[in-house]
Amino acid sequence: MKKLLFDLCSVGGVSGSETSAAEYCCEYLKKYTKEVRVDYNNNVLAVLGNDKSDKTVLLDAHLDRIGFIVTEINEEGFIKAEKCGGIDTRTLLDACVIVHGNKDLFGVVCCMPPHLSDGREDKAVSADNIWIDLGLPADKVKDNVSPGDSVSLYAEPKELINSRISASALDNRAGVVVLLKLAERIYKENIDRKVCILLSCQEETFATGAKTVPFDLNIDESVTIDVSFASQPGVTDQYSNIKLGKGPMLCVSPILNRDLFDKLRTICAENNIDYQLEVCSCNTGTNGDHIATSKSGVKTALVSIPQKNMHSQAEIVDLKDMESTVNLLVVVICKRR
Amino acid sequence: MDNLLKKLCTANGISGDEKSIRDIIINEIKDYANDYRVDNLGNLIVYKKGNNTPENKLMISAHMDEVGFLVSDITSDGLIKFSEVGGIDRRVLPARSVTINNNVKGVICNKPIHLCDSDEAKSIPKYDSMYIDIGADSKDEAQKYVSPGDSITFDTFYEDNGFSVKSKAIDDRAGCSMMIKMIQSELEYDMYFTFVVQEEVGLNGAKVAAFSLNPDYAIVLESTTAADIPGIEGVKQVCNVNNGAVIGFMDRRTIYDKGLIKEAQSIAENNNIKIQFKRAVAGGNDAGAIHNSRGGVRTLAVSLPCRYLHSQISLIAKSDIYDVYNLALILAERICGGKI
Repeated sequence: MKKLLFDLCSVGGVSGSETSAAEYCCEYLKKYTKEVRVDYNNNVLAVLGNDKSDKTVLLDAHLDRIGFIVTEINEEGFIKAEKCGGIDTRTLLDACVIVHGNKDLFGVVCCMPPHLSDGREDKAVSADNIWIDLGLPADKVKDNVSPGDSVSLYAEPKELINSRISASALDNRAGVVVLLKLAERIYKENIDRKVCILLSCQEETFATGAKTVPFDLNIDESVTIDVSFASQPGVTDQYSNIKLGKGPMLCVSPILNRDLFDKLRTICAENNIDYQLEVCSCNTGTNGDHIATSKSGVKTALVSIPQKNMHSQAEIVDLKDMESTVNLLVVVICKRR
Repeated sequence: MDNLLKKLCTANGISGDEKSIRDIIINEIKDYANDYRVDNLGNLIVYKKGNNTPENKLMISAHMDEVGFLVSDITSDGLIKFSEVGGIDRRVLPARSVTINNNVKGVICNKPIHLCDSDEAKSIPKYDSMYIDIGADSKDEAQKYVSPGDSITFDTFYEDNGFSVKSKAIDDRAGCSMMIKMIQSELEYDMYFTFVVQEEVGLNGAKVAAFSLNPDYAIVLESTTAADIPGIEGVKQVCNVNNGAVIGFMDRRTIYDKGLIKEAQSIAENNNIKIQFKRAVAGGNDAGAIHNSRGGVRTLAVSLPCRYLHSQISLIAKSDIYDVYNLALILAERICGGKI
């Protein structure tokens, strides 16, 4: 699971430019089903289980990651980029990035050295002033990069102690890996329902994948897999009780289906799977909201992998929580109803 | 020199903990130097005989240390508190990867933007609310891996794209790599080379090394602040990457020797070497400690223009390395030959 996660965090796939990540996942899923395709928006849809069944369960995880889009290249070859998704500007000065041009190119977000400081050390850079330096002559930059190309934040994936993983894009490659591993676990099982695995595009921007793909499917039940907040310095209220390594978070929210939530909770209890509770008093801010209100409505649940430092290059998850999430979903899919 | 620079930059050695850098350098020079020793502060002082006895005693110097942090405490939750070593702008810290003690991986915490109010979302935390997460859940667990006083360095990649190099610690491993190359080559005159410690915390190594050596002249090989980035105009750029070796008239530590500046200029003109003059009085380097040593040492810094100094990743142009190297070597020969 670790290698798969490291590989997936190292391919691009910024919101709206998910091609590289979609191709990687499609190849992986082909080992477990013949029915897998990538649509024009880079949504990956794989069908497993009983494709003759009139009951369909959808499992969704968003495939895209936050990043930037190139808007301009200046005379000196510096690249102007605007944010694509909920970029945290506090983490940007001197950030390492990969510009996904004709080929992947390492870059640095321009900043001033402390020797020449403007004294505004307390203030994050403004999002409209992001320039990227590839360290190449302008003509070389223009040969390889064009406006519209995507840029992702780079941090080499690494293992910390306690089976913790830190990388950029664990939101939501952790969820994607859970579904890839799920396919591997269930493809030989005798399953009564049709199982659709959706790796959806553009969650971080316009939720295009979650809004469009379910429209063409007749879904009875759906589970969205994403990441959510765990306890860390500065985090208060309910999330201060969420710990890494203590299992996936099951969400209660008006927009989610209570019976499905109860079913997941019962499965956890019966199978000794640790879980934690997340309460959203309004919508969840995930793909689950869009899937729940698709067509004439879909019974939807949200299962989240606890994460620290969300939307930064230092996101952290625990492999144990990902494994527990796979275990939970295997029972959800394979249990006779 | 490419492999050498990579080896030096990717090794870890903050001020006061330069041993791993020194060991690499000793290994590189031991078969070429006529003598070398390590002094009480950890400076590596190397003597290399040339083809001729010099008219003037010359010290060429570069610093081994890089900026970083020290572990100051461990919280009950197993998070690491840290203090900066050398000048680092807090704006380059949130969510950065670090290495503690050369082997423990960690990241600097960053509260999720989703949970921040609008002021918090635009503010860089103070050191008292910054932490490093190594994955530990308790103080006991963290203490198995980390102790107060341990050294912390940035953990990033090294990339050479043929035109430029991106890495941590180019300041001043680039200077070290050039001196190693000089020691490995045949020299016209006998020269002394000092790989010094603790530049980033107050030029301490250079101060004692200059006292010990008692040179007539010194050349400092440094990496200096280039701010030639979008939005920074004219003199505020200080110097430009890919425009050649940087010579300053004055910085925050030194007014440079006018005779040596003039000589550097004429060497550049006669040898097709690109040089540029620093366009602002900014920064400072070991020249500040060396030129005031004993009864005074005639000193010039020959610097490599470097963007994004003192951060996880800085950037230099490869062509500038050769300009700095060639200018410094010819200047060294002119000084030793008594031609100034």
